[in-house]
Amino acid sequence: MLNIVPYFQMHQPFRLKKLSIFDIGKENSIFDNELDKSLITRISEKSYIPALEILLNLVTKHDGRFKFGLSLTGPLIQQLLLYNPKVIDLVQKLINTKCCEILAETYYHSLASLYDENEFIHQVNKHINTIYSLFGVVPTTFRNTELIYSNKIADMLRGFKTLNIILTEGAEKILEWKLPIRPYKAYGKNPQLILLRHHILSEDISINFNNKNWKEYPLTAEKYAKWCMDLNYSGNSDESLYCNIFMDLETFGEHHDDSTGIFEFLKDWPTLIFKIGKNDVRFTLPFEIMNIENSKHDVLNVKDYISWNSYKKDISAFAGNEMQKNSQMALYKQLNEAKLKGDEVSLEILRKLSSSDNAFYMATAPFLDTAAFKYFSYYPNAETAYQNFLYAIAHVEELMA
Amino acid sequence: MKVLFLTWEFPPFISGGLAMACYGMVKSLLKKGVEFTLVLPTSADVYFHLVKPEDADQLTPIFIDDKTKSEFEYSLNNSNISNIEFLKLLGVSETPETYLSSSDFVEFMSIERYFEVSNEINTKNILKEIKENILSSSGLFKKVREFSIKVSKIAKLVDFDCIHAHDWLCYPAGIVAANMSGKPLICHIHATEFDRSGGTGDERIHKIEYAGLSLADRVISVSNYTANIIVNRYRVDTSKIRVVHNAFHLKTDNGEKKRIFKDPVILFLGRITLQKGPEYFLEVAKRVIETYPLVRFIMVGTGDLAKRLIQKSAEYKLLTRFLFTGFMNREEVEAILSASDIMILPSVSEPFGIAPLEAMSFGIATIISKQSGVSEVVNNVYKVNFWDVEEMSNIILDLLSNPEKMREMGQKARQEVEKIQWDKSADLILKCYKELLCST
Repeated sequence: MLNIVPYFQMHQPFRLKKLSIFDIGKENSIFDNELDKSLITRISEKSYIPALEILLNLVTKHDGRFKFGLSLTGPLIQQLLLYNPKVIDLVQKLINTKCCEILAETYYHSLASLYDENEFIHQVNKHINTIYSLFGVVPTTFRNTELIYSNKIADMLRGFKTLNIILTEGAEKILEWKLPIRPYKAYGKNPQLILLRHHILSEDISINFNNKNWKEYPLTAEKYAKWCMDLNYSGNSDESLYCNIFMDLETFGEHHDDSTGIFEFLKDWPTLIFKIGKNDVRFTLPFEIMNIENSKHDVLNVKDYISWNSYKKDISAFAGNEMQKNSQMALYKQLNEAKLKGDEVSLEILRKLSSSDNAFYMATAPFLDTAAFKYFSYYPNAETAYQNFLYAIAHVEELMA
Repeated sequence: MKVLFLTWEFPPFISGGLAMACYGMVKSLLKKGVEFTLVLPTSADVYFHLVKPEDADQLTPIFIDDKTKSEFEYSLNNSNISNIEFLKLLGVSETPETYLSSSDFVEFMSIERYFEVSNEINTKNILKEIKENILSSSGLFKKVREFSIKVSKIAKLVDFDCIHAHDWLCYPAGIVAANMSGKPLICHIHATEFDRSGGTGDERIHKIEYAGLSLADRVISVSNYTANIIVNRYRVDTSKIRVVHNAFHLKTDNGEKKRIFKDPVILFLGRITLQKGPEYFLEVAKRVIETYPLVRFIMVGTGDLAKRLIQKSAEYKLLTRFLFTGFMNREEVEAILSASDIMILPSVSEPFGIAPLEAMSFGIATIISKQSGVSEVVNNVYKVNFWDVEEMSNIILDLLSNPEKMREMGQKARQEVEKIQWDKSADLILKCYKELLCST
């Protein structure tokens, strides 16, 4: 039996204004609410609303047999409530169908897991509490920012008794001869099950869909459904296998424009899965795996951090260069001082700054996906982003001094 | 007394040393009755006629011909723009470019005849060399060519008694104007290619500097330090060199500190290039922050080493204690000075160095490199070898732990700099103009 496990990520950061040294310590906000608002408005109209409506229709059309995971970060939730609450209503409707599982992550989409364990735990708790109070559900599956994972992350999550599943990248360097279509147990005493993204099938949609130089272009829903079903030949007939397709929800309508046919693809693909896979396939939510799986699992030993970023599947795009390391060190140092002082206002600013986007804008890794960098970053180069970020932290330091 | 004044930089946009020196001497000489035809590397064909001291602040352009003027005014739909906006439209450059950044070669072009006026063999050869250099290149050399053409047009239109050209970018134009008009040429040297490159430098620029300084009737050097360089390296005839130190226009209202940071601020102000020694500033920062972390080191400026320094400072994990600002305009430079406590000028080779004078006028304790012209004119500063980061760190740590001493040092510096006024230096320049007029 093949279980198809789709999960879509939704995130937008709070963006910094372009600061000058003379803005430091002044009363004005350092965040660019106007820019945030215009982006949230655009992305909601182009992507979130049409994509979520299609997902809702798919659930209805297939009588609840179509299911998927969804994760919304805290900064996005806050901005949607301000600028486009209709998106939140749509998510609530989807949750009510019981065919949409909301995942847990760090509230601020941060890199706290790399720098500060206490802050990491705080942000995961804050996210779980926010999801519960807003949607009335308790997440049981965890996805870290950029699907960053290592044994250490499973260790840090051990205290969260309700989080039994962790999602991460099916990176070849950790799998070696193993396949990403089976669940694995976390290393050591950690009890969690790990679901691995099938990065080839995921990136065929998220990256290749509109690539006219790709030999499989154009990607039809039928062709894609067949590729998914081909995974079924990899195991025994009585075994449960998993096809984990994870990507940003912005893939639909934002990264790939409506005119590319991406929405039609999304509409048709589940129907074709059922048609081609017949009784050998079903859509499954991450948490349901705990009910399906009772056998022993191989242990996945991940010593070095992996992530879903670029083809290197490491953390070099967020924590690779010295600018990123120095600025994150400065951030977490100040964050701890704000905690000690109990300065809630400064804490909130620093936590907003902890979104991984700010580190990504400083990327200089030579393999860097420049198209993605240009899309996500609103700075002319890494050094300008670094300078601006240091100003922001220095600003908080001055407010606190 | 009418002077054709050629410079690549002039305020309001550029706040570097060359611009401020030109502004200072022009303003003082205007007070002494000298009139100027000022030519800048504008993209529009204009010059500026300065008669009254205020004219130096309110640059009013004169178009070379009515046709360009009407075309320009036609393209300007709204005449209610500020003077600064207007100058921007004329194409006054906003960032300094006295050092070379690009040099692609293009086809031989049109102004060669301007260089074929001398009959003397030696001069002829030098002129041939520069002609080939500036005619065969693009980038900055192309701009030098365009500037020379423009100056040649203006030299026909206006009346002047002598030509005063600043640094190599203006020397070819100065030579052209002198040969066309038969009027004496003064080449003012603010920096040599040896200073800028910290080594051998660009041979094409050396040739232009050599030609300008050799052909000039007078050479004004901004310091003895630089006079020594041009005598030793270019064999300039010592009898025609005059040393005129730069000075400083004291602002009346720069008394009060407008702090940004609560902790003491240590400043670097200048281009981030090898000449200015920015790496020594970073090394000092690293040493000071290790023992005294509650400070801010701020690097103001831009240049080809900026990226490397940003990366290196991050590597040193100085957190937010070392900050970069990028390029700053005049107003911002004053604002950052009023927020600073200590300034370092760690230049490897500095013909003059006006920034320390300005820092001193803001009551800032100042550390300057011994390899600088400014060290010839001030005493209430710390003079160190540019490479001696230990010494600089020790001075800073001493000042940080003795705030009273730091304040006193700043006060003394301020009192001293009040005496270094353009008025005196302008007299020396005026004397130089007069000497030339008497001898012709």
